[in-house]
Amino acid sequence: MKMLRYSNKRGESLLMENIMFILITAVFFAILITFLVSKMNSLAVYEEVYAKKIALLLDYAKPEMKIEVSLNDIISQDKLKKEEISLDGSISVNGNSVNVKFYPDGKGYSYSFFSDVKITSYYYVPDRNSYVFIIGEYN
Amino acid sequence: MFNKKGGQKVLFVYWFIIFVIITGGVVYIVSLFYGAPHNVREIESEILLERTVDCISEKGYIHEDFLSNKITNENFPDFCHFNFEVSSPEKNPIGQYYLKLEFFKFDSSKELGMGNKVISIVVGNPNLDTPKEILKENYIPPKLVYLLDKEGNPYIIKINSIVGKFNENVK
Repeated sequence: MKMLRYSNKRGESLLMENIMFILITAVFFAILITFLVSKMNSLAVYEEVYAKKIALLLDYAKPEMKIEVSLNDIISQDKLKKEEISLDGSISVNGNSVNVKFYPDGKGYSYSFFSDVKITSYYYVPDRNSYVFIIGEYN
Repeated sequence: MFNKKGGQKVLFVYWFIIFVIITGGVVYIVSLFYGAPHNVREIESEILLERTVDCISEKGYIHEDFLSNKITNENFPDFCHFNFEVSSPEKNPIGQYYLKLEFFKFDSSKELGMGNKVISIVVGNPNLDTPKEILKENYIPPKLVYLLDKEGNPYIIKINSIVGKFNENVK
């Protein structure tokens, strides 16, 4: 007994072309969305924002001040939680320059301030998710 | 003659080109937006101005040391506790701050009340004092402050506080 086999080559190739088109479109949009999400969640932007914010606060600093900078914008990000990035030690002051480094292997972002004050100490407060800067006397 | 298969291939290429253009455009705009630095020059120069005014005035009057010419270009930064030294020479090889103070005796008959100039103090990088025509939207105009000395004589102080840092703030 002969089996009847139906073969529609033209239809198959049309189907393949459409599948290819849909796949390429999906890949394109996936790349686009991945790019947008990576840019939006990039901690590099926050490094710059916090370095400048802290430098401007220190420009205003006067002896015996205690300045507390909240980092709540950062901690809410999934990336920090996923990669278990610690905010402790992410901010440092060298001379009259503030460096903010959220990626342990990165260089971070530095911004200078003009106020000639001595930063006696600075530390991370995990409970409040903030950094505290203790201002000493003028240099 | 109508060739449906050929037509679909052309349409496929057409859509592909459209996707490439749209994706390229979105990537370019997003990169431009997130790549541009946050410009804080104006805020920083405002802070420098406020700190300068704080330094000039003592209990609401002009500090005596200014009028007795004890404050010069050299000791002004130390007197006001400013540190204009370059912390990262590779990033900013030249000074990034400029401060010019001009004390005028108040004269109501003159424009803006600016009579004779009595004191002038200039510190920082003078190249930053670039005209508005060149800097355009990055130009920070000078501010005028009205203060009295301890005898009650009025002065107009023209303060030009400019922050450079173009690499970090302007794209």
